[in-house]
Amino acid sequence: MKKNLKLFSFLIVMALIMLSFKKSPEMKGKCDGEEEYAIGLTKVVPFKLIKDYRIVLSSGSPSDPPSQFFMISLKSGLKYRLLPINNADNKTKMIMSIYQNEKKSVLLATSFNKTTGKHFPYVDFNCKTTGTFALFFEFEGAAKGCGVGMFAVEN
Amino acid sequence: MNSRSLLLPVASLILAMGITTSCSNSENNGLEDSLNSKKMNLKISKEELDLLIQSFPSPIETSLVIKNAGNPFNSSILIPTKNLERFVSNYDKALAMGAFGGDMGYINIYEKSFVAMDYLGAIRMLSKDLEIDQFFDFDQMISMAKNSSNADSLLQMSTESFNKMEAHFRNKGRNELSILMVLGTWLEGSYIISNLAKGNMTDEMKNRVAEQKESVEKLADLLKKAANDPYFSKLSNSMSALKTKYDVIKIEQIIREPEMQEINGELVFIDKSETKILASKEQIEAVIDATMGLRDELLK
Repeated sequence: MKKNLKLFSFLIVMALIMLSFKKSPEMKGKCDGEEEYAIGLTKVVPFKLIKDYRIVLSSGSPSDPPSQFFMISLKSGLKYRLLPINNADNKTKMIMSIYQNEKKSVLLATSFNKTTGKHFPYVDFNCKTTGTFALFFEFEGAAKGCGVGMFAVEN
Repeated sequence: MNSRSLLLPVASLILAMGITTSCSNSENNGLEDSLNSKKMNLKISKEELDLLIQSFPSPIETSLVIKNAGNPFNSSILIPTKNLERFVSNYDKALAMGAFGGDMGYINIYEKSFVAMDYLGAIRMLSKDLEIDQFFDFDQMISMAKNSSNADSLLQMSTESFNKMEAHFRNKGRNELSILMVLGTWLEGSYIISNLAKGNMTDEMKNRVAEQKESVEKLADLLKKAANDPYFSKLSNSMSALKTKYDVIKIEQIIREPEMQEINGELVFIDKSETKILASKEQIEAVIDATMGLRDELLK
């Protein structure tokens, strides 16, 4: 009997340990980008989705805002669309921008007009030169946030 | 409650959880286990490789520039879907998988769903061999291909599946398979452009051939970094030979600040940059022949 109780306790402890490794829906939830991606798919039409980017950034200094970048290919003669989809809990909006390179030499397109402070739900870029460019993501005011960036092309 | 009576359900619960965990792990690790090939010692960091691989044009972009140049759809130039047994090793299969992905992009942009059926069949077989078929919902894709009004959905689903599959290879450290997929996709797209340019050498098509120079340079460099593997060494030599043909083509890129226009609340940036391409007809013909020769050698 005592032996069985020990075994029983051992099994319970093991079960609890294993359960603790499983993510709860809340943990898994809010920032995995699935909901934002689904919203983005409805908004990207009639453009064709090339790639989606799942972005999660922590807060930082406005003088050196946290950002994430990816290299993208652009082809002359094609019209591209940048479509930022924000998580509902974001304090500020996500900004998508295309620069000449990762050093941000020349800004080619952005979803945020710094002068007016206006965010656009999407931005189109009529490309005239083929090459590799840098697609940057950041949140206004260097705030933390998460979202999905959709990179699409007109058919 | 009798402690003995609780033992069985609790033990079953733990066993079930163990099986679930083990199944989930085996799903993640299945590729390494079943392909049973050693990971390649690539002389490039993961971050660099990720950035480089993402910088290649998608089959959608390549196919759009072909279509926008006025070229009609031509299924006869695509890779034949029969005799898949010619792709023997997993390296061959990853290369072919990328190329078939390129063909799917071409087929989808032209909305030729009836042709897509055969290609989905080929991709299904290769993906099973490479144990990456979990990224495709083939039943739904085939059902979409049967109805031409679903062309957009089929394109989106194909794009999504190929993006996930290629990222899966890199996340699992199978960089060599990821590189081969990217090479296959690029080579097939470049072959289609070359083939069409050969038959109709307009300025537009000539420039589209020349534009491949950047991808050729990146691929030649990438393959050189993997050349300690005999398979990649051979590919590296072939790509270096192609790069030599491209070296004589001069491309000058002038980047300028764009013009910003807000029209009806929508923001549009008009690119003011330009590209100057200096290449003779003979130089373009030389790279066309070399590209088509390489594709036929590796994929036909």
